[in-house]
Amino acid sequence: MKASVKIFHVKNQQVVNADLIPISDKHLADFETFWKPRLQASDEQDSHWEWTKKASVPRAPSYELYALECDRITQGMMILEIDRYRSRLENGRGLVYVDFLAVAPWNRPSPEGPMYKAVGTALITFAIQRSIDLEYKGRLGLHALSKAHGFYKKLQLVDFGPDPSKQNLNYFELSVKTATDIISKSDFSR
Amino acid sequence: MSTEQNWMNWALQVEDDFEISAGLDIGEHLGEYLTQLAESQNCLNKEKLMAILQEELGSVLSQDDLEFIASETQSLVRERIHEKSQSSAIA
Repeated sequence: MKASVKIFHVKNQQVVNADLIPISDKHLADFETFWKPRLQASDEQDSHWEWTKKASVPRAPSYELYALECDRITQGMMILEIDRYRSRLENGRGLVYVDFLAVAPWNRPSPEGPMYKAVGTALITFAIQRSIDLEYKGRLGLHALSKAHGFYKKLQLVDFGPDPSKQNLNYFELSVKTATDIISKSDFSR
Repeated sequence: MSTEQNWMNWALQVEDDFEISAGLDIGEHLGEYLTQLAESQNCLNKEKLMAILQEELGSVLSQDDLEFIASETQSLVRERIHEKSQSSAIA
């Protein structure tokens, strides 16, 4: 599954094309080469971790792994879990669960400003579209770090509060109605 | 205004200056996370599990029941391994 999406180049104030495609070794190499040095330089909560294993794209049928690529560089990544989680809003119905979503360090809020905007929104919108494709009608769930709560609240996901089974990260879920509203704004071309 | 422009205006407005990360804050450790994810997928061979269930319960339960138990068991094992890897990820 892939899609053509639009993101925003902040410095040039220009809408540009990007590709949303399955993660390949190339994207993991981008992560090692371009993302990791910046993440190591930051004050990430998990900076004490030891790096022990070389990355490779896993064969995982329950998961879909995507990269958003622009200018031949990985600008964002997302892992979806497509067949295990159940809705809290709609009595156990299936949903797409966002297992992991991150935008490149240079696209995050910072004093100098991000290089590209709309990367994360494009990824989330694509996840909603996948939920529709999988006949979950746009239902989407995720656990968000506190620094990302504002975004998901603004997207009108329902905040179920801290989840003890996920290290007290807040669980958010998108209703079918809100998903339909969001998708109606988008222009995904496959 | 085109759909494309409308979507971009909406996306820029909704993103504002927010962080957008979801899932655990695995930072620079994506590779390790993916490795654990792969391990959680390959943890239990369904054919072996079905063989054991068939041998022990084949005369009591139907094939559909055994398939269901095998799938649920696989799912539960994956979930537990995944949770365990996530716990260690932010420990």
